[in-house]
Amino acid sequence: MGSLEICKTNKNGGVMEINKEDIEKSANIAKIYLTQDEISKYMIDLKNMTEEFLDTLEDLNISLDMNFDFNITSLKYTNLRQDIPDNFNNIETIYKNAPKIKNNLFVVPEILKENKK
Amino acid sequence: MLTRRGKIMYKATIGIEVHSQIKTRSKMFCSCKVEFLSAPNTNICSICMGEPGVLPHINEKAIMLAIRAALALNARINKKSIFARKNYYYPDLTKGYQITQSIPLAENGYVVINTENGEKKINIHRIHVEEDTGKLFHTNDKVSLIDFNRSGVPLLEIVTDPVIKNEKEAISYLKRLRQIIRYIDISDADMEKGQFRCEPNISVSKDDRRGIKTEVKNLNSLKAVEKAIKYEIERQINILEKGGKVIQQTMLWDEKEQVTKTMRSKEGITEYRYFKEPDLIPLIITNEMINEQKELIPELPQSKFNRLMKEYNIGVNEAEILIDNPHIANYFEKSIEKGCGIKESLGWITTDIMGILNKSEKKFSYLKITPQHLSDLYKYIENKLINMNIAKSILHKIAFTGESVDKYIKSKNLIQITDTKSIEKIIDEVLEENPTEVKRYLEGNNKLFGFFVGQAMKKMGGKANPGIVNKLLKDILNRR
Amino acid sequence: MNNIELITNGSIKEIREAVINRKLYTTELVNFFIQRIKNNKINSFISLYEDDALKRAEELDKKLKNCEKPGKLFGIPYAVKDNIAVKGYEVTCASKMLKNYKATYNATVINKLNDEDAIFLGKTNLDEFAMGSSTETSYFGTTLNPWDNNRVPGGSSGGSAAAIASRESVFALGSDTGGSIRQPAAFCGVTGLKATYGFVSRFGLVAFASSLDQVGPIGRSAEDLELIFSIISGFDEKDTTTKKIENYKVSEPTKRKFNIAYTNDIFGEEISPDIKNNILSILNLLKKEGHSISEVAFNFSKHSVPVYQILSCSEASSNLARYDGIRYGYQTKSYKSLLDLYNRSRGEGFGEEVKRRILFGTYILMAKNNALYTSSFKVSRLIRENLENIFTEYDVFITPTTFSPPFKIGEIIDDPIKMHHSDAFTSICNLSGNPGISIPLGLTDNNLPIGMQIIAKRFDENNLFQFAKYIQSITDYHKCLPEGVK
Repeated sequence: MGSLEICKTNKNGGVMEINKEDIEKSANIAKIYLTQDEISKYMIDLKNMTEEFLDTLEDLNISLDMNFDFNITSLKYTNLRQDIPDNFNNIETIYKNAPKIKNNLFVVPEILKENKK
Repeated sequence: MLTRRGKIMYKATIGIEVHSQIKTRSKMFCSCKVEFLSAPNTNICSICMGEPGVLPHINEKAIMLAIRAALALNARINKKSIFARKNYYYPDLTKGYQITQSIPLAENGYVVINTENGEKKINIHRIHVEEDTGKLFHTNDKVSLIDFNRSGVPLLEIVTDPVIKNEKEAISYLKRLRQIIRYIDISDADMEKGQFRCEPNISVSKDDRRGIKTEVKNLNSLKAVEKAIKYEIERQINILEKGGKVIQQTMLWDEKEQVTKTMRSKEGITEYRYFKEPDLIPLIITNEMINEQKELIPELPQSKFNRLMKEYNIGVNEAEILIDNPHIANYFEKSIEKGCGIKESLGWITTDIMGILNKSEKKFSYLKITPQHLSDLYKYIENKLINMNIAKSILHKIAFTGESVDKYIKSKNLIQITDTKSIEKIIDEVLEENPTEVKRYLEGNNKLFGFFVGQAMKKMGGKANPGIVNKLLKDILNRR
Repeated sequence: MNNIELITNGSIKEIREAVINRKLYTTELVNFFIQRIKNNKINSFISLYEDDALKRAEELDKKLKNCEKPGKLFGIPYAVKDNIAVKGYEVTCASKMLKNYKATYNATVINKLNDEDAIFLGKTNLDEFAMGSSTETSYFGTTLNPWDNNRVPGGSSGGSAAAIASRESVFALGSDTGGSIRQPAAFCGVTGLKATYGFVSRFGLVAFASSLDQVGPIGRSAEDLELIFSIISGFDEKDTTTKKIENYKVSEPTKRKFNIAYTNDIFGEEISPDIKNNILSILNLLKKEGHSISEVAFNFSKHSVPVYQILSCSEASSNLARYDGIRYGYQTKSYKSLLDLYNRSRGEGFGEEVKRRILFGTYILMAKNNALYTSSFKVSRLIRENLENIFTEYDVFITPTTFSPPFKIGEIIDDPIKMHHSDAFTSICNLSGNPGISIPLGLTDNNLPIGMQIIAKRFDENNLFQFAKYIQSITDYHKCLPEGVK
């Protein structure tokens, strides 16, 4: 898994400083083209939202960190499916919904060799 | 392995990540069929296509097989493991994230391999289940085509600690791992079919600090893995020698040019934004599930290796060949059970049968010779009714017909000629026909003895007992 | 009651009985609503399927003639929020991204309703991808509040709530992630339920925030909602987050006295006086009837929204990653590369609010910021524990549904903080998993509906409904209809 850092609560701290690059990077990762206006607007909104949240944590005396035990649930059952293959009878509709499909293969712009996984 | 460059010794540190497809009939999170050669996009549904509103539903068999693998790899099974989302964009990834595990199904296992310095334990850091992606096909038309049949097929990810020292160890590990996977029948682990994928992580350094590592992808055979690791180690050493720094990145193995190449990517380190999969509850594994799988684990390769060597007193190389395929070792032992000689069976299996299969490129399951056949053949050898050469040629002939040994020998009249009188007659004929050679032999050219033997055997269609021929020829020549 | 009165004011039970006794025909019933929908000016529906609905009505009629056993919702027409999959019909999520996308399967809840012979009418309007509190972000334009067409119906299930208030359907399905059923129910003067998380299957609900989303009914009364809930709830193996629990049985009317807690938040300065006064007066009424009323300090209404935003945006950013224009949905017309295809399709296909939330979520989930996401679960757990504490002593917990009555269209659409603020009381239930119902609590001085939220212990919908039904048996608020509808 990717490297995960532990951040300490710091209302004015460096970790929570949000700038244009952060929005641009997020837009890059989320694969959404943004206009400059949108970037500026979202930057302010994001700042406000995270500040509000950090205030909440401080009010409730909760530390900002990555440790949370999701394991606590007292589950005694697991919902597992039997390994029986089944035909999904709506494949035609899946094909119909496709924006670009040729000979039952979905078509996308070519992926350059260097960017192959 | 240490590589010396001038006065400096470099050592390599390698860890390997393997993805093995799990042999289930349906996919990991939906009921679509898993089948290698289906027409494109016929084994798909709303769930594995990532349509709006769908939710994953875990395949029980996939979990059972994963438990079996964890046990066979000596790992500690986590009674509660957690699924997580690995978020990234790629056309073959239908949801825009892959469901994998953060807290894995099992941890801290190991595999034992044989090295030149004896046995070595390769530690396995973690074993977990996840789903496969669809397949991309690249055309010359400036488009790529996607087949989602493979999207959602269950995968087992096995990650070692970085304890492998060189490409030889890497291959031994991969071979052993693949054997184990086949022994416990959780996958056919066919690399060409993409059922067994290897990604080594490689770094080099002069001292105990670990160097920057790179990851190598696109390795489609064990040979490629071996070559790529060797090449990458050299490449990194060269960089360090020149005073440069190794860049942490993913490399692609170029099979044509036999080099590793940088995967051009603008993003640097990919942000996967891992978080716990909210659509799934923690996976609970019970003692019942574990015990059920324990029962299904046969004797594993390393144990079998050690046992075979001890019980049958056979060598390392032969033992390795026998254990490579779970069926071969069983085959060998059955043949001994049925009365075949150890040396003979071993030789026939490791040399002849393996040779026949390799040459015809057929799988072991195509072989029609059974352990009974070997035992029958052995009886004829033991009773000196045929010689080794004949035996070998019989194997070749009945390999894919399975004809009974008795029938075949009878029909081709292959019983060895042991009758002294007949052999003497033939020898006399040979000597008659080759007076010059006889003269030269008697003058001291001892090498011609073999020539006479060969000629005599030829006249007898190879069916004579070589030992008897040699003795009689000697006697006859001595009398001259 | 004549038929018109029955259709507009009757309960599901009464209407069904009339249909079975052939006092009312299924086709008559369906036609009534179809006409109202076609003639409405409030834009509550995105799509209407009158031919199919009438066909279904005729089939059911035949079923009746053949003396086959009628389902529990026999002949009852219903509307579905357009983020729930109904096979063969478009599920647009009020977005350009899915404008022409047809669902390839039925959501589990739809199968359950159809099995009980309910009749599907069409899809209702919502905020795009359920992200909003006013239905103003819909690609198909906002829905107007039937009580005052200059005001919002609330959101994101604004279409469904408005449809019920306008009597365009007997009941409707909505979805609730931070209050998207209860807040519009309050704004439209109708009743809306968000059940305990895990009680109703999410399979077929287009995911927004998986840990918080729930499908739920909006209707005329708690009694109606309880019947629908008993049908749509229950373990679904297709949704691993549903709980393996006994089938819900409709509660009996009760004469018992309740232990009622109410939040001291109602005395806060942000609460509109109409809301405060109406809640206080009902509390007084309950006290007079012999129930015990206690004020409790529950200081989370100011914390729930920031936490809700972090959590919901994070999960949304991942859930909406599948919309890439490759397998279905909107694909940009011209692109130069794969990257271009992604960026343009998503940039053009999504509206502003959706883009904002995806961006926030993406930012929060990045490794260096990930602690924000995990820490929000800590607050959720704290809220849950506090509520559990309250329910060791009390049967139900009362809060306002919103701070104020429905606001004007366009009034706060540019102020995301103010917009989110309206989720303060409702999002508490999504974060903790507790069930919450909003019931109408009368009108303000200028005739705008207000609502009251009742919260109960997790999986204790029984108590919740008993109490809500009780209140609706001693008051008439839920019977009020907007001027134009009467």
